[in-house]
Amino acid sequence: MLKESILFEPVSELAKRIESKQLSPVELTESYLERSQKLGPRLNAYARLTPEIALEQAQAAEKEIHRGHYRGPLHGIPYAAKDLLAVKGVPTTWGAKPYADQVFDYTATVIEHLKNVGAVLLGKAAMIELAGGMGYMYASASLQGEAKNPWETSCWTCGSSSGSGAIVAAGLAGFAIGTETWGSIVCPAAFCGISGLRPTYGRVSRHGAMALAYSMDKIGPMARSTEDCARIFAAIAGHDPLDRSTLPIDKAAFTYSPAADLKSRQLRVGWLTNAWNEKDVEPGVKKPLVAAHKTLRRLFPGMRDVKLPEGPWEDAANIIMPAEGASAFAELIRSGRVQELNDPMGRVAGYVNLTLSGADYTTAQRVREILQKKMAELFDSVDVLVTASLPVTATRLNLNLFTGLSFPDPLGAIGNLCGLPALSVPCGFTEKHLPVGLQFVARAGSDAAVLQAGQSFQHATEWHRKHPTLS
Amino acid sequence: MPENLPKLTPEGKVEADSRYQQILSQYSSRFDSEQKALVQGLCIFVQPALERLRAFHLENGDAPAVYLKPLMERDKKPSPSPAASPAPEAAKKS
Repeated sequence: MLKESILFEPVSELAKRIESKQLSPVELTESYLERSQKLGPRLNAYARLTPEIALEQAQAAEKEIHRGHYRGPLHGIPYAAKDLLAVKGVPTTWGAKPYADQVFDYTATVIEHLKNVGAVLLGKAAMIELAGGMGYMYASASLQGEAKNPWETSCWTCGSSSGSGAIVAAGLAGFAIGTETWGSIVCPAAFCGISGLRPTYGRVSRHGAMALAYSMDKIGPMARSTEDCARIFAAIAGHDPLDRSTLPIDKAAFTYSPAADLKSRQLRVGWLTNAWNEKDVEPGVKKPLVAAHKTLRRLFPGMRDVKLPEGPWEDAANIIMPAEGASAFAELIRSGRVQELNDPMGRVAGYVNLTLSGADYTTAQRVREILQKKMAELFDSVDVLVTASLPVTATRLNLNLFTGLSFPDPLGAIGNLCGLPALSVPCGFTEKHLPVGLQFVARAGSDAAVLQAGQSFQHATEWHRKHPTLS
Repeated sequence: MPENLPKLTPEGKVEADSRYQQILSQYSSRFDSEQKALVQGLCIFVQPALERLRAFHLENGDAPAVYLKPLMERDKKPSPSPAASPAPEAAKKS
């Protein structure tokens, strides 16, 4: 088994070792598998491991690289995919008991893209049942049980990409793929002290992914650095004829060039002053946030305070997401099989969501259009917005989330309603040594801007290099 | 029932109760008393969001954000080569 320090290296470092043939993809895969078998169950991190696929892909990668055919920075890198992405012949449970035996005869486009660049599928990551589409009150709302935070196992990873967060933070794989409809990449990235990119809506194909809210679902990378997120995003972004919601070829594709991106124009950064209510910000979050502000002011001397527009944006998101989710899972609700879900709220909220009217849904979509215009105006004066990823850190495993993790989140609603890219990066720790996240958000299509900002921050800080100690 | 439920206007109360009764009329037998209380609480919880949304000023011309993308082209299977094409009816007759 490889040294633990190697298993915590970012993809960019692992790739250098693999390309120079100092690291064997087979040995790396075997080491991650062994670590995942040992620590995965303790964290409830995986839905399942796929050792046969992993070793076959790792051996193929090793042979190719030895023959001189190196495919790029993900070649031979093991990863985990959230268990709502179809892999032909492998159970895809959507984290939910009613789908525990579900097997697709096709593979999600994002998994195909990763296969094409030589990445190694280590397993399927645990997740909140139906990505939280039926609502949930407890971290235990998952077929695998509550995902435990590698930094403090009495705390949660956040959801719905709960296993993906745990896997990356615990050094169980090189990276993971998560999805976000509202908060499901940004929150686990923040709680787990890793980097997570929520791409612009439509840049990554959702063919083969479970649908929750058709107009809001996004797929993105969760990794140990911004640079890793950029490299993974470059591999999975692109137009897909199998997903009509993907952007045209020239708008969907993403090319990563580290040197070019960091030397590009100086970003105009806006520090958000109204993203969170002051009373909701945990004292432990404030100190790292003040330090991050100082760092950003040094990196971006023109940084200025800005405000989000005010309006019923969260209300619109709170109608659109459940209404689309009720349609996506109408059969599950009407048949009564929704009662098989783990979570008490998940068993009943769908019935309420089914009653939302078409008129109210359309009103929410009209409000959404106005919001898009207001945000476009805001992005005329700044390139990137920045604030805390969340006002809180990882919550206790048994917390009632409906009452205990309930605070206004206008930026989450705005970002996901408008399909804006967001990146969460670690920016410090609380006194209890729980990670704090910093969030960058940009205009739709400007994923490069959030990556540039995040990379600049990580060049100036070391938070992304920290990892938990797990025995 | 969830704690900290919002206070509703009289009209809001009527609508929330109507929503709850609609659900019960179809699915009452599926819920135990605890679940009924939760459903009722959720009906109350969703009401203020609906009312704030409806109160937001919109003009008739304010269109929704999600537009139809007419399906102009479909991915077609490659056309058969001309040699393999069936002969047009007219040609068959001649």
